[in-house]
Amino acid sequence: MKNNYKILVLAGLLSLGTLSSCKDEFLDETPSTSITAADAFNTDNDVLSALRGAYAGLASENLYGTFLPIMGDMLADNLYVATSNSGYFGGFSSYNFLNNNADITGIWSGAYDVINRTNAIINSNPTVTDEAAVNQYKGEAYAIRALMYFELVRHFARPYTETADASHLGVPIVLTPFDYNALPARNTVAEVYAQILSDLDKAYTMITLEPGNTRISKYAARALAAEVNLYKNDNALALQYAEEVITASGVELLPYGSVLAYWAETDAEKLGVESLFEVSATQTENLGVDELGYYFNQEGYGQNLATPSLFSAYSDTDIRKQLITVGTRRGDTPAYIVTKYDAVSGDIDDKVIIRISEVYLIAAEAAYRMGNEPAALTYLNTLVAQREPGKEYASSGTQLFNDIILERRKELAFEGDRFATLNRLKLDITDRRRNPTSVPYTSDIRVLPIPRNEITANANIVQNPGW
Amino acid sequence: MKNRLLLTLSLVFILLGQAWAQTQAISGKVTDGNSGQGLPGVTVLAKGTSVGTSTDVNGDYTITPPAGATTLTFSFIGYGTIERTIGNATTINATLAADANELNEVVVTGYSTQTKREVTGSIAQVSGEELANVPMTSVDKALQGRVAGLQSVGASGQPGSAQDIRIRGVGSITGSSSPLYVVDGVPINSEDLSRASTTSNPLAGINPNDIESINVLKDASASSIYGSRAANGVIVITTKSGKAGKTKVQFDAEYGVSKRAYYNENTRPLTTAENIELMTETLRNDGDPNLPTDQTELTQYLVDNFGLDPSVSTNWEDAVLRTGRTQQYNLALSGGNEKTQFNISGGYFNQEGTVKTSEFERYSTKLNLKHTLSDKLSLSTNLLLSNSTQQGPLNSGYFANPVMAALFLMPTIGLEDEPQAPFNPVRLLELDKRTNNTLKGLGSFNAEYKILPGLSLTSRYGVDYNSLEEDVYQNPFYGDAESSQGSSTRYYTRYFNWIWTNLINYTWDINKDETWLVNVKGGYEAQRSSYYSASAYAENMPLNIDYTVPSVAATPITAGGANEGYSFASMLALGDISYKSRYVLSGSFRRDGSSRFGSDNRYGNFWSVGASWNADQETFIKDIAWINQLKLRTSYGVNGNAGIGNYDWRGLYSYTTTYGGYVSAMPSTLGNPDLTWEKNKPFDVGIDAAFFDNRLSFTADYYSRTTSDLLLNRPLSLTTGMGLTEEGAVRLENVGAMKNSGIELSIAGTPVIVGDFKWDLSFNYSKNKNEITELAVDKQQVSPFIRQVGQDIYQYYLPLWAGVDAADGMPMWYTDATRAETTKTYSQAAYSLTGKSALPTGFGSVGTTFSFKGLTLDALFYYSYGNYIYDPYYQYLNSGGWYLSSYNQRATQLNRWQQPGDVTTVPKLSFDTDTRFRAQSDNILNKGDFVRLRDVTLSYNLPTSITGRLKMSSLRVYARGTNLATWIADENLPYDPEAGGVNGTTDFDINVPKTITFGINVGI
Repeated sequence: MKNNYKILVLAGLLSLGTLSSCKDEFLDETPSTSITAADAFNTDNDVLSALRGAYAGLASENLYGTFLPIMGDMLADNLYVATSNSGYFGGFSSYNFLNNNADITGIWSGAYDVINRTNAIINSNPTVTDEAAVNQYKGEAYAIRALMYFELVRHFARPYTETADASHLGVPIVLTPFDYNALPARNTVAEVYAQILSDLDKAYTMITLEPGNTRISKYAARALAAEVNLYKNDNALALQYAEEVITASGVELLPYGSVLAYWAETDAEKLGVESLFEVSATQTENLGVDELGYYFNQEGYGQNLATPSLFSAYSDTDIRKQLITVGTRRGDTPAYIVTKYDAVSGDIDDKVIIRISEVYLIAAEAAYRMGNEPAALTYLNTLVAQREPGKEYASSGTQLFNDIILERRKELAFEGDRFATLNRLKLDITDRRRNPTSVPYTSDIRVLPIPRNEITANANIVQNPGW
Repeated sequence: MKNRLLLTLSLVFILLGQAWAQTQAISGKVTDGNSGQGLPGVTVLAKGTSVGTSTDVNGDYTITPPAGATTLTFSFIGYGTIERTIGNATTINATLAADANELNEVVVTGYSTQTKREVTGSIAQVSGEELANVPMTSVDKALQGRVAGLQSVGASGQPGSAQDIRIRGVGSITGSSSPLYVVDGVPINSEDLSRASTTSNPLAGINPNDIESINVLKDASASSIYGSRAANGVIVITTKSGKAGKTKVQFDAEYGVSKRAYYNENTRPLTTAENIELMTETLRNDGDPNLPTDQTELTQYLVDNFGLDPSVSTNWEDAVLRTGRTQQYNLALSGGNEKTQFNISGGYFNQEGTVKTSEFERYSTKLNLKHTLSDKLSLSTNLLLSNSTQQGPLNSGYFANPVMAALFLMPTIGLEDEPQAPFNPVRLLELDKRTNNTLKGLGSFNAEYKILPGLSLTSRYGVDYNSLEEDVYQNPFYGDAESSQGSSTRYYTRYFNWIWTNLINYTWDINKDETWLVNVKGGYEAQRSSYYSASAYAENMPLNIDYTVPSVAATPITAGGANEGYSFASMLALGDISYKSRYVLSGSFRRDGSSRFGSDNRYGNFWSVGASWNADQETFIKDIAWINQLKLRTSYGVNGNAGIGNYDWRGLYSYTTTYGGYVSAMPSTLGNPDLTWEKNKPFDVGIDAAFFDNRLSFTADYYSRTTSDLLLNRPLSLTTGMGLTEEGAVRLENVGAMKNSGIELSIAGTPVIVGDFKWDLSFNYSKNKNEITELAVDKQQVSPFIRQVGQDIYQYYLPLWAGVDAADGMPMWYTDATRAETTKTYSQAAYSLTGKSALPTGFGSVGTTFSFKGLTLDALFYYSYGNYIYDPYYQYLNSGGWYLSSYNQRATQLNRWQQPGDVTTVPKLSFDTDTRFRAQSDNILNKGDFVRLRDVTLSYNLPTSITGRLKMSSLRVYARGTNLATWIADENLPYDPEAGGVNGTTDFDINVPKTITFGINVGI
């Protein structure tokens, strides 16, 4: 019996010894390709890496990589899907989609994904060694966030001027990162614009360095603020900001002789004119067959063609007409083939977000709205002189307004601007290539539906009428 | 941690020393009651003391019992125990008789060895003999039909492919539902480890001939000791070890052929003539105004517009299939003396698949060595090494998949042509290559130290090593890589998995009269698996297809490499107490921690209790001669499923994207620090019985297991920014619950024994019902299934087909589940519960063996019924006219509507209007009921008179067939009934083979 007790005591000792020797480190396995979220913002460099991550989000197929530019021109009257096609974007081309359309869900998800990334950067507390650098990164994050809320509010809600005080529904404003239990309701359009402009102001003061135009510079932020103010109908501020960018940014307007070279060039840094901010793509960093160029270049899918109404808007001496090649395609002859974005191999096109030509158009329109027609004409003609030599507008009143809007259509075609502009101006869309050929402003389909997955998961979100 | 243990171990050794007094020596010989031969390895003990020895190779022993010892006991596993009084004799001989009662057979779990009488859990055994020389690449394929409650399905006939095993139903929704595999005490990495191979199986590196036995642990009492990984059952594999005695040599050779096992004439691809016939009719149906009426003009019209050249009729299936060879050669040696025993084996296995170029080849060797240093210390080691090479093409909808291409390509395309999308499979099989070379090492080192009588310490260090070298070459001339001038991909993957288990084992005969017996074990275990990977991908290959490595490519595109790993640390204890072998109570406890679980929820406790009543040991039943065994048992407990990703709980930023040429950090996983294992609570009650001198035996179990805390994705608002993951904005949380309940029945018997003729019969049946009881989001559609509370996990949710209207030939669907109304507009047909599932209602096997003198014929039939199989590519091959001339169609299209009054299964064919006949509906489902002659062997064991003369101990020749015949319920089932796998969804895998082989087994 004595032996048995000895044994039991021994067994007890052994088990105690072994239990306590299990160290927690043994059970701590970390991945080799990722860093835990808690450690992702310890140093200045961590913030820079995360900032690059936010830009990488902009380049995704859901945003500037493919969907935003295509949606912006195809829902309007600039693009359509060819008869012989690879099965993409038929929904946009024919207004044949429901609230669960994958591309629209992608735009909404993609924008909030980037917003989440910027929120994490803005709210981070690294151990700062270079204050100017960290402020720069946070400033750029503010600008990116503002840009995303701008894209969301101008596509998923009615324009600012729809109601007197913009009190109609906008999009939810989320400022905390990884708030996974949040079920936010839609803020008003006024609140969203206030947030956008506040973020752009912060960006303008915090950005002090110049890392190249595949990242947002101080004047790119100001140019975006000019555009936002135009949408807000604060024309004085829009004009002031636009003029500041034109005079102080040091970025030149694209001259006539360089227009074709500018669009043929895939790398934003190379030419040094015109671009304020472009989203980068390279030979190894691109979306492959989902790239924007693949849908235009006839060696790719080549299925997105320019509409006849757009092509006929250009006069024969307009250099921009040469950015559209007339060709043939089974079922579409003549086929208006877009060459603005057509790189399918080698270095891939960077996607322009804001450039000086647009700033001139903002200035022209803002000046017009403030009643200063001579200034409006000056800005308009400065641009047009570099696009159509010899052409000079001398119109006034509504005709001048129409001319400005027409030039905007001709200049910014295929950059995703047209749908939002027509919405902002409360104009009917006419002359589409596919049915419906006309879409009046009052139609419910002029506003994108909030994605069905959002409605199902979030009881606090109200869907747009008709969806 | 390791240092602490070594210290404690040495402390133990120091603390417990025993000295014993010298007395008179006794010697003798122990013989086998049946053969009269000396029995080596018999344990001879001076009863009540710690003094003991073993008999030598001749059966002789010498022992010096201490003063006061009165009895010697002689015991040997399988032979029982006898006692002899010591008295004054200096020579004591003994005779032991082999116990015919199977119940002294041992059951091995990774942690203990018990006799069948001691067992309280539900454990099924498969002996090595049933698995020896099977013409199958891995042992999990051979388990089909042999274990009640274990469903083994192989969707792919690729040699070396993975097999789906489900024990007592599907236990998880997002996690793994596969059981844990333990080989010689080492839990191994058993899921498909490859990165570029279509399907591969780490178990294929283990030669089934090296296996001594497999024990399948099904309920809590048996498996909960494996803690957080035991939820889906545990399969314990024990490899062969040596036995003392004359060295035995075994040589086996087998050679044969294999072909596609299942072919359905009703669903074969159409010929060119049939295509022309259908196309003509379809164009007439559509009222094509250009369609000529004149026959010659019509023929030319079809050639010009649709490529339907009547002079070319290629049978693509025949072009792609082949008769493969299968062969294996095995040599094994085993022997030893009472101190050292060994078992060495080597084997070669090669099997060609049913599709050209698919093949599997394995070289394997195994060494098992046991050595007793002293009465107290014994050591053993198992070492298994194998090198396997697998070659085979893609599956699924890839254009380079020969199985898919053989069905899709038009018969009007010639064998020499080079179409695009899909590609000419015969050409591609000649030009492209996809290989996987796996080196596997599996070993363990064991030590046992007997501290005191009944108290021992065991330590085991095990290693499971796999390294995979995968190469994918795509030629520059034709195929997927033509536009990039060819490509070469190389992956290197290495898994190193080690485990260290230390246990203290105690056996206590409380009253020293074998009435109350207690067995207790306790200790701890640590395991870590680390993964190392490297990869390279390059394009622009030389214009010579013999040069395929990445270094000869002109354009390197990507290079990669990463590390990963997981670890487990556990404390475990198990024990049982029994009274006169009649009543047994057992329990187990394990505390597991793992790196896979969230930092807030890292450790868990798992336990089980089991009880059994060996009614046959009761005095009143012992007298009933015809009852050999009657055991009732029950168990309940908790175990877990840790089959989740290694880092799922962590919120992560990934460094794998770039912007502007710089590395960027982006949020990749939301994570969940509360993430933990899924829990399983199995209840089991069973009966084991044997009658009439074991001429009739049966086992029956009822079980019910509830799994809870299932990992499911809870949907979040997309505004949280996590919307771009594959599932959308979700958070992985332990929220779901599911239940599996069912019965298992196994009956075996020998109905006829007449002289030298014997007829054995066996039957087993498994029935399982699966039901989801809790979800994060109810009624979630996961095409073609729905996840709904109250339904099983693979319940089909589809629009309901209502047939073809005999009046106008249009397809009809029911508008909803009430089936009250039909519609011809597909969009008005609501998705509904079909009442059909991919899970079988029941399955099992029937086995029969006839033996007469040395001649044996045995057969095993496997049956499964109640499930439905879904073809996700149905719409292309059964398109109702839509894809005529683009893709070849199935012969079932010939049964189409032609005039009012026709009752058909296919509507009026149309080329320019999509009637949506081909769209998703329950029309696509085929009944999966089948019976298959899984195995039939005719063998002859030459009599000892002949073998004696040849100086052999045994010589056996045989002919064996697997999957020779298949009977199905649904005459329009296009695929092998196993091709759907566990979830009933087919994927253009290589056809499952049937084989015929001839072999010889020589024992020396």
